[in-house]
Amino acid sequence: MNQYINKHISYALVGCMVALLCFVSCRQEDDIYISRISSVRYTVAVVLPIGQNSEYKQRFEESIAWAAENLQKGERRLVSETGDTVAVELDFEWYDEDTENLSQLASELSRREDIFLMIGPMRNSNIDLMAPAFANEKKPMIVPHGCSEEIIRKYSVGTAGVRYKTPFLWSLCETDISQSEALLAKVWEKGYRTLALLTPDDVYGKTFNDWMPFQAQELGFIMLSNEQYDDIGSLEAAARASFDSGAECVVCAARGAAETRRILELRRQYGNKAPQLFFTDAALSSALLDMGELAEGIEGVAQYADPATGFQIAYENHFKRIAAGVEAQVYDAVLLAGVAAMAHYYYAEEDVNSLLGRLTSMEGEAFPAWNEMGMYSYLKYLYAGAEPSLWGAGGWLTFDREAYTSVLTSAYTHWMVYDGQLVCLDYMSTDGGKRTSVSLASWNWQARQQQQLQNQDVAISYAPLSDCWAVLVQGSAEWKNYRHQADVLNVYAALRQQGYEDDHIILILSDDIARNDRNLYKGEVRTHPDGTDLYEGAVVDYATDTLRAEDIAHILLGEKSEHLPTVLETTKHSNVLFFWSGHGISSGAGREAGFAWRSDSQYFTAPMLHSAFVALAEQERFRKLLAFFEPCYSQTMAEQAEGIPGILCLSSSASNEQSFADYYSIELGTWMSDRFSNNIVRTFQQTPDATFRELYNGLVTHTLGSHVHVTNASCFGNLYTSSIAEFIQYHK
Amino acid sequence: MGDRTYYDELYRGVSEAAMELDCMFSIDIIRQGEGTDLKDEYSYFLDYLEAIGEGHRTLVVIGNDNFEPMIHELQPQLEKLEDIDFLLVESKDSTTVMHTIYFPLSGVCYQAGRLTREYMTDVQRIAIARANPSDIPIKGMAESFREGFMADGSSRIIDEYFLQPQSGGYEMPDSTYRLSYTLDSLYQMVLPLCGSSQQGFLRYNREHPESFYTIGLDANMQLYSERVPFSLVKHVSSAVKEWITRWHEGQEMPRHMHLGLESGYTEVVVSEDYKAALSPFLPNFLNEAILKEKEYESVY
Repeated sequence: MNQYINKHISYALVGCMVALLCFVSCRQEDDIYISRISSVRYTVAVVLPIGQNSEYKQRFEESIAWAAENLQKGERRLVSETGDTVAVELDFEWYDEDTENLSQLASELSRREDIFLMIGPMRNSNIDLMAPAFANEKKPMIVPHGCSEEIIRKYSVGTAGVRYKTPFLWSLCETDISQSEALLAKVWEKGYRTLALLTPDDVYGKTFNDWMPFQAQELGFIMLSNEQYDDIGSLEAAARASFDSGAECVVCAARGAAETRRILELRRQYGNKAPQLFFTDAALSSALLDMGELAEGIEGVAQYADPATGFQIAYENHFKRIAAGVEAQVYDAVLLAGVAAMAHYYYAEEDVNSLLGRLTSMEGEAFPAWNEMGMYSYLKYLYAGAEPSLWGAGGWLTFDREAYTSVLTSAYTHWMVYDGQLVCLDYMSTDGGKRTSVSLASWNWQARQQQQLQNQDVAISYAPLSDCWAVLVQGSAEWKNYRHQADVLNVYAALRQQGYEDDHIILILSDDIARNDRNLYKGEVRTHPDGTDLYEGAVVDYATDTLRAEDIAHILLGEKSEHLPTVLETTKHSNVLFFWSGHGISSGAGREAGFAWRSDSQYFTAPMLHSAFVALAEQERFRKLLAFFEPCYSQTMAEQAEGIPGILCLSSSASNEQSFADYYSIELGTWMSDRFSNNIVRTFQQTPDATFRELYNGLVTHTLGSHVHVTNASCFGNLYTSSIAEFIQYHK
Repeated sequence: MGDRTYYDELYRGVSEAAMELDCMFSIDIIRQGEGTDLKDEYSYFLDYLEAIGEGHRTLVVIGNDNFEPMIHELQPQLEKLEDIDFLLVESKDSTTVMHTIYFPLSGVCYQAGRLTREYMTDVQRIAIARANPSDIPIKGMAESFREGFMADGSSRIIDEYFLQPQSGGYEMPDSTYRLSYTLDSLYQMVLPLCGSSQQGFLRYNREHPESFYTIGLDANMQLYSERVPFSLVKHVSSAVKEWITRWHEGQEMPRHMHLGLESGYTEVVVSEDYKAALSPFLPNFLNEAILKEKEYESVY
């Protein structure tokens, strides 16, 4: 068997694909054997909206039963083949998330030793209520629809400064940042250019409210209105304000059938003057079909099963209806719980979260594992020591190996009520798949077409690029700030790797780490215990104990002196990359914000930076300037660039936030790097031609515990079409 | 799977049959090696078949004819696999251990061409979007549609576009979406002989309600756009389901089934909004189309 599996895995790396549908007749003797298999039972708590009046009750109960049946059949078939006599079985304890006291329930369930894990709840506000108890007890919760960006970031795994150090929350969908983008892409394709946004003032609406205005601006929309409401009572006024805004299209993040119906009733009152409505995923349910003419023609975007898994068609055949909303993810929650239970029993491994982490990061043999025979094959590979990928009903159940918490890719459908039926018109995903288009594919193409037309009248025109320069600064000093120096050296090494000559990088370090008495690896500086030495070959232009804070401004402005022999020699044709790592100082108590210089007693202040930026612009000493500010509270410093053409700042944290370290070395007794900087370097190395939007999205997703900000984008250019390549791919 | 046309219909048929007959089925993705040792490839395929069979009566349904050369080579070994039967869909080959089904669309294409010519008089210029120039069946479909549309030797125009220069072209909806911007000003109708790539044209249709007509291919595509007057449909789902049911009952299955216009498993299906204008005239060309199908199938 192992030989077969190994061949299969290597074989899967090449060539074109042919799908084989294997249809296996049941044998009576198998059934007799299977009936003799005894069960090891695992209890799974299910917390979903399953009250008597819930539109989801029947669907969720049936989907869960179907998933459990397929799991059981697949496993028992394998057990019967191997001659074993014990199989794992799931028992479900059902709770209605709409009527339970969720805080109390979370406290109880998370402490019960007989509860293997929890599936649910579905609503993001309820996830937020229940998660802290599960985090404290390290009890896994698999949530089918944890799509709030805030919740995912809040409960992501981090190593420092972040409360949760081990994964416990497993969300089976991407955050709504992706849905928001997919939705805007569809609205844009339909030709609408003016928008209004109508969202509930809760954790579900927050992601759209936070992100859509930013994304809309980047995509070229004009956002005419952004209305929030608390409940159905305040919905009417907010909806009317949206409809009256003059927007061609109103994006509605209605929370279910009642709010959707109310919005549609209000729209009807506007007759022909009503704007087009586009709904987010919470509106997609079978209740739409009960609304008759009222819902005819409405459309939206929702998370859905990736069509390549075959789940939708099997679902239609099984239930004689189409899958609605997140049923595939509810099905997958059972699949994941079942596989974890089987692995838990098989490997006798205690830590369920570690098991889930392993199961959701395997990248071996791939085939749809969600049906009976798929599960049988999946377990066969798993028990034989292979590492099969988990391809569920909704798509890949693969999580980020560092942050965990949410799957890497979701599929979205563009749905419409057409002739009394729900029709899935298109499928999209952030990165595109076999059967899904890249969300922004057509926008990207049309944007390129448009740019050719707009070249003559773009608001910001840049001189031709002739050379690239970088100024890399470590503001801190001493062993305890090892990570800042390592981060600066990491950026330095990445730029050298991209072709920068050393004479175009001004490297400013405290330079007290490599030869420090506490350094067990003399002469070396690394960002990770297993990382490569970054110090070797680095040419340090200034040790910080030879400089004053204000000297940084002189260096940027090219003001050469005996004291400062190495300065920028830039012109209006030069791109400048400016990176600062160290400690930040927030404003308050009569003190200005700034970056600490070696200690808190002196610092590079916000006004100093602002003056330097203004002078650089007035003296035409750069073409474009890209600044990365890693210290705490760095948003305040980034704001010093506001209004100055050609400068873009990316800061690791808001004005009132700390930013956090990444790797801690017990051996060295110090932190070795910061996550923000690590993510920048990773982007430089892996996707040096990434757009600024891709860089920003990557930093936001992976920088935990603080909010990455982009500042001055409107004075820089379109972040969706311009690339970091012009800063990091060296031009002499 | 997930192409919303041919493969989904095939899968639907297998899935329905499995459910009704209470049998297991799996979806396996087998990658054919390119540049790898053929012996290894063949031996792997045999290993795979032995592993999936393992004492159960098994039917392996293959969705296209890429495996034909391997089947010919492995014929003696495959004959020894007593518990495994094979159904190869969209193949005309009746000389191997495999059972085959083929759905010719050349007759349907001819009928569609005639229908358009006679009853859609606003259509003067048609673009045929072919996946590639190499695949013989779609070449025959393009030719038969052309013959139907140009039946009276009129000066109407049909141009052909190839999505790929040699092979492939069946999964490029983003490309056909972009191509639509060019075609829209030049043609009144598009015949997409390119599998799921037709979705790009349909998306363009939805976003541009006055744009060209698109003929649906393989499945009834009327729900995807109001600009689909009719579809060239293969009833793959029902044919495969029926085949499996008979196989499951232990019936002796024919080595090959050719399911063209006469069988009713291929047909032109007119969309709801166009029924009044087109449906009454469809039968006028049926007999002629059946004859043409025989003609074309003997050549392509």
